[in-house]
Amino acid sequence: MPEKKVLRWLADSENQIPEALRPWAAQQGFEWVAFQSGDTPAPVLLIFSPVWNGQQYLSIEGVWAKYLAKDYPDTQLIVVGNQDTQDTNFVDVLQIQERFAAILEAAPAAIRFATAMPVFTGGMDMGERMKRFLKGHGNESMAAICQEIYFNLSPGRDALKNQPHLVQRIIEAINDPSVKNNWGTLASRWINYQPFFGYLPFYTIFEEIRLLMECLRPWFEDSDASMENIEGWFSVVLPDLKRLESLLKKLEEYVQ
Amino acid sequence: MQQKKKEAEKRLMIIVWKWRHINNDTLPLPVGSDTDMVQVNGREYQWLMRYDPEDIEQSIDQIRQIIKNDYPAYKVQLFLHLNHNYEPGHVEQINASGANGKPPDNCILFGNRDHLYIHHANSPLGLLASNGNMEGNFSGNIISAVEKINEKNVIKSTHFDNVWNHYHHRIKLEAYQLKEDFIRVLWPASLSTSAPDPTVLASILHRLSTYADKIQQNASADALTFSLGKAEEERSQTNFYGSDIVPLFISLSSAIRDFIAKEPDIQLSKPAMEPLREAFHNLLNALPENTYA
Repeated sequence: MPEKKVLRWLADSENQIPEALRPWAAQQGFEWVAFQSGDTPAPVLLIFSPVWNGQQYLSIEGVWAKYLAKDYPDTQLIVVGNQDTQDTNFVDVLQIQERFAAILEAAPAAIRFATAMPVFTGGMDMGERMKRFLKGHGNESMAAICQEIYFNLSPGRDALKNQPHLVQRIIEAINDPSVKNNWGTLASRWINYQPFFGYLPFYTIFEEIRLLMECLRPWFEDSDASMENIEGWFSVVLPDLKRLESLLKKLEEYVQ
Repeated sequence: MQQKKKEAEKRLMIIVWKWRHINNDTLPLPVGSDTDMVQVNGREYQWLMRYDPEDIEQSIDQIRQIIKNDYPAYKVQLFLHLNHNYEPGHVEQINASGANGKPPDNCILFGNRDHLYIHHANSPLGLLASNGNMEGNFSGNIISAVEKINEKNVIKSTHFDNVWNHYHHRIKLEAYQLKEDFIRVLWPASLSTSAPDPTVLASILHRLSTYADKIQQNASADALTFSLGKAEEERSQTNFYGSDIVPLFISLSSAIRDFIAKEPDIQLSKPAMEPLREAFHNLLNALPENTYA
């Protein structure tokens, strides 16, 4: 018996179209599998875009295309959208039964999207949203803000070891309003943008960012640095900030 | 190589509101004045004009003159508060064609209900509090739309952008969401062998029908007057789009009517859905802004 071709599809949980297409997919000999976060997208990934996050329609195809081009360049990405547009990697949802076989046969691998963009489905452009999250509107890059807090604090770690009499000055430096302002910028941007990230391919990165932000929040918001907790600032806050910065930089690689 | 900085669009938001009358202690109008200009932080050509006229009939002409003479190159959004006794007739007056002044690009009549996006009570990035201030409460947090930079009061750009974009994008957004929603409901129903949920079908058909009615009632030859919110009194008239856009709204309305007139089993077919979707696309493709801000 010939092996069934696996088609993984990604859609929001309220979209009933993929399930309605299941009998057609079975008839065509496809194994029709809902994509779960953590799955490997290869060899074929269908994205039903835009996705509904409960408040907005999000066009996620651009971010996925860049991600696949970088990490899974051999995967075939096929965007299933609600418009009559011709493209090698796009199929009109109303025409999927008639056109899909030909599209699947000819769709170039995702490496194409290293230098091109997929058909835009007209909702909130998540590529732009990711850029705004990471880079802000000017010189407000999340990673740079993180780095600024880190560099403000890191000289203190060495002083703590070598010059314990400077501890009070280190504490004052940590409690400087500029450090908390920077943290406030990080925290509010994360809170504002997090609801848009549910259907993007960076689930594990976002989850780690979420945990780090939760861990860091009380240090900046609940109390000031003091003689009692100064060790924690260097053993917990600094490494967490460094990790956060590296995760943000990792994300930047996908939204240049 | 140094990149030339892109100049921000020239924007003027005029809010006619009870600035002088109620507890306005965050940023009071100058003593003896019924208007002032507050710059948006970091934006050379973006301003909020606060205006609290004594005579609303005169104010119509004054606003048109200000737009024509002082801000001819600006995109202008005008918010008229209902508690000043402005009503839809004033919106029509302010948008009337003629040599006497210039109408705004978008005119919104707001007030009386507390669900408006411009209010802090409904948006963490709003501009107004119900007590007349620019500082208000959102989910228990005090939020201010004003900040002091170099001893000068300015509007926070995020708040200005948020309100501006919300009212600018709302018309396209409504059409886009309806286009997506009707396919998401009807197309799976047409693929399924079991009977579709009549409540769900009725709901989307009702939305389409209501939208067609709204277009039919509000599209005149050269402008559109749309209710933006749930409250009947919250209305706007927009000139963001040229008169070439109005026929596309009317075509969409006709396509909706044709679709609704079809038998239910025909509605659940591709040949019935495609022309309606095409009418949506023709309109959406002609509206230049992004669907979402």
